[in-house]
Amino acid sequence: MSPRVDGPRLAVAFLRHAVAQVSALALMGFVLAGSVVGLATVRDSAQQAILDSVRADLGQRSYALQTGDPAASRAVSTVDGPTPVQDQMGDVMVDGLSVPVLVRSTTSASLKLGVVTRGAWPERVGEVILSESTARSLGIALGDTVSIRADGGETPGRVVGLTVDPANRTTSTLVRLVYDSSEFRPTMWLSDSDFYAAPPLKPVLDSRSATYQSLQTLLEAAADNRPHFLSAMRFVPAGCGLLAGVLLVSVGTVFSRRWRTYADALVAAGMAPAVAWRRILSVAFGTVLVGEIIGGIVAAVALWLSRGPVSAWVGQHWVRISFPWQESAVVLGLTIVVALVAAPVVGLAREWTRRLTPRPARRGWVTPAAVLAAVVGLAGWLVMTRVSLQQSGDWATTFAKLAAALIAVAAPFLIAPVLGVGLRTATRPLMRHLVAALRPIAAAGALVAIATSMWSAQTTRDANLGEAMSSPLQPAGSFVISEMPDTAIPALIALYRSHGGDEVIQFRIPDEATTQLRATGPEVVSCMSDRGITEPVRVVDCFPQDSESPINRVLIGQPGSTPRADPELLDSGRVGLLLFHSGEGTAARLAGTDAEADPALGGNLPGLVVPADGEVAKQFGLTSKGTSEVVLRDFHRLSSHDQFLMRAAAIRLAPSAETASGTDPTAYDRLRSLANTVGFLGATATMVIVLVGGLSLVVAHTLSRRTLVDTGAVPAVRWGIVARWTAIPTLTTALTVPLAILTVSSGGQSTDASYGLLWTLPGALGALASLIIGIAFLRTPTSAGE
Amino acid sequence: MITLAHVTVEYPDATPLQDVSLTLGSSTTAIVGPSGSGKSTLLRIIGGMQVPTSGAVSIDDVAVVTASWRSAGDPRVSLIHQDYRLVPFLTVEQNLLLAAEMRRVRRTSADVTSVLGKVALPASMRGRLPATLSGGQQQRVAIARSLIAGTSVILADEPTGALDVKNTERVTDILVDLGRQHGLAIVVATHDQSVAQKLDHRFELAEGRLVQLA
Repeated sequence: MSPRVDGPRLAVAFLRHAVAQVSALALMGFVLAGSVVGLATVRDSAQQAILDSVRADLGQRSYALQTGDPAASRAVSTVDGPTPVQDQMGDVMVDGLSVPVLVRSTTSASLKLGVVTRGAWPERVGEVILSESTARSLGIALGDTVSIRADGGETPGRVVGLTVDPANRTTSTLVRLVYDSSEFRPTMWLSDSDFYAAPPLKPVLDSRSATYQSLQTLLEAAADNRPHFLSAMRFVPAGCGLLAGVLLVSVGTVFSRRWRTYADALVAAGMAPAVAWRRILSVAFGTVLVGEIIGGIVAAVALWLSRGPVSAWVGQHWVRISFPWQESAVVLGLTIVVALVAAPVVGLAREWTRRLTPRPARRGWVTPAAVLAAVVGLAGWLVMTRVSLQQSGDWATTFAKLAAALIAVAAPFLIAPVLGVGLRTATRPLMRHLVAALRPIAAAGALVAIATSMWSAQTTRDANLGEAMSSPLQPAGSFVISEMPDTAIPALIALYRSHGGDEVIQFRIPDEATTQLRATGPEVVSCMSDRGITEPVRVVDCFPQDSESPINRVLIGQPGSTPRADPELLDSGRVGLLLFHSGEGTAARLAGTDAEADPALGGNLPGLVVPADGEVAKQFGLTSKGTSEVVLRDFHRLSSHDQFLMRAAAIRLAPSAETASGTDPTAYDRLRSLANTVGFLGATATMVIVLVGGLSLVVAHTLSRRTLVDTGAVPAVRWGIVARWTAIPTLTTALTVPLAILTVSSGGQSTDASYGLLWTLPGALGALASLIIGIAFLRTPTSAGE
Repeated sequence: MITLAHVTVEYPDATPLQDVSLTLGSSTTAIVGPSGSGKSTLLRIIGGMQVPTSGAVSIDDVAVVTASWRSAGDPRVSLIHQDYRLVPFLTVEQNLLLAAEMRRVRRTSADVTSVLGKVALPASMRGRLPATLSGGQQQRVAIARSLIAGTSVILADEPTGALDVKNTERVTDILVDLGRQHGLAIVVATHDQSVAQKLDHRFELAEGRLVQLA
């Protein structure tokens, strides 16, 4: 009895016969999964590094508490569990060289502050671990002794380990083990227990003399503080996968002509067409799946092996990589789904083509109509772009975009007649025949390319512009850290200045455990007094109309300074004051004081800032509780990378504080991600249109292609014809790139805001797809059938 | 016995078969006619590869099973094509055994050797791929594929269209022998009069009508 032919033997025979085809498919699968998994691994690993950094900063503990209040510090020290840490800026010195570092001192050897890559953790007092970058710059090796200058003193330390900050390669940190002495003044306590559950700390936290955050909250804040490249990469793996998928399907479509002969042979042997196609497609998709699995593994392994240079390229230091299981499952799952539906789709396509009857038609009106459209489009575009350059108007910009789209659509119909110029009498009608059906395909591709390019570029620029110019906070472009412990502020300011920042404002927050003083307009106080009302909400009609915060906080400024107030609260140089008892909505006392106008105040910043030694502070008993509100006013001037680093530093130095950024990246990130996605989708759609339409025409022109070969056309002639034929979609889609940017930039203001790069993808990949169909056209057909 | 009763095939712009009735026994029959006269359509109708606009087709008084996307068609019928349609990545033996498997017929290597003998091919060709054979040899393998499957009706659509004179003669002789010695109903669509002359019956298809030739 002979072994069965149908089954594995058939598959193996097919694989051996079509080794070039299956290799190409496996390679495409390899590239598809490799690019998706590779890019997603980079993205996820970068994101993971940020989270690892936060965990390492907190010594893997779950809660962080900070206070500048000595009484609160004493209360924390009475609780078992919290580990104190002192953060301060200092210098590490060796052989006359010095580098500024963040010095982190702890008394507990069990607290693992950082990620040690070489050596060991400090176990004895005097042992330190140091950032790899710092050690490298100073030529320090394990076992070397360095001098640490901090807080006015200088102490030796023996380097027992090297550490990295996974999120930031340039971080310079020294962690040392110290004795619990009077010189050790903790700025932070770390614990695995909720501080609020400790009875001695409850009143301290209720009075807000100390603030604390959970690791979870910090991880969420850190996850939001993404560097730009991470935001932009959000949908890049998916977009890349989409593109590679389109290419894969296109290659499969080209191969399917050969597979059809195999299927016909299997049918002739007595196999049902559905079964025959299933056999062939299962082998084809099987090889794609194998390629994808290998591609994914290779990408992950390659990134794991090269995690050092790759993470350095994005400014990080990965100690591990994060494998994107979700994307991998989606790639494999989609391939399986496509494999399952492929055979039924072939069946439908066969039925559809069987019913399709070609109806050649003469369309003599096409070229004149295209000329008219191009003239109207060009004139409209010139006028509208001129108008939008002179005056910023939405309607002009919109019409300019519509005109640009009209030009793009008309372009292939104008290019086509030009392509016949210079051709001989017999070749010209052939050229006309070939380009007739390609023009609408090129026009459709160009329309998609220019629409998505303009949208992507415009949205990216709007996001960048919005981020640079606008701000929900006062003052615009600032970074505000509320309730920051005073002990951590010098380190933060030093870091800010090292990143190029300059303007820092600090308001000390008064103890409001029993009473709360609020600033308002003098009219509010008068109304309440005249009407005998103690609840300010009942005199809303007297509120200053233009103030964003008609009843605002009163914070403490530098001793000897002049009281300053939100200009909207001032009336004839005076500001009203309301004193509340904590938890009550009725004012216990009404008063007023003189103050100078300060445009920076108001909104989310205090309404009144009084000197610590001034009359108001004395009269109302305003004393600092050891925390301050810090405003980094010129935060917007920092580069996006430095902004990212400063936000990360704020989370590190003041984990218990709350931050609000006038350059909050979240909303703008979403816009940029959306723009990138549209860029990718536009590129994919353009490629699909040009490839599917173009390859269909390549098949449809089989007789013409065959005739060119049979009549003995020399390669140069065939290439010339193909070059002219391909020029229609190539030039049209390529034209969308300058047309899109000229249109979008004409409607914009003159700023440095970037348009990004991904908006160029639709036009560029449309042109690439045109070249692919040109190559397909050049292939000598095996049989004729036009 | 193949029976066509009042078979008509209509297209929007043509009627290749018009009220064709025909009865064919175990013999060889030639359908001749110019290109586009509907010869292939008639074979496809007999083989169940195409459904007529009206009329009925049966083999031994049982209606022909229609081929579809999910069905290979009637197992009693096999079709031989001008372009052979051998599976290019299977050997000659595998091509034959696959055809037997598709019709759920058990065949051995000895059966393969025997069938190859009937089409005048040596057993040594069993392990060769179709691409290594000449056109005439490939067409004989295609005939052998029909034989090994145990079909009672062989339809051949221009089986010698791609062959030289010598191979045309050889393939025609094989078909005639099979019809006469093995009791098969063999219907050959051809425009080659030399092929038609060797067969038992001859019909001409013109303007949708089938006319028996002397």
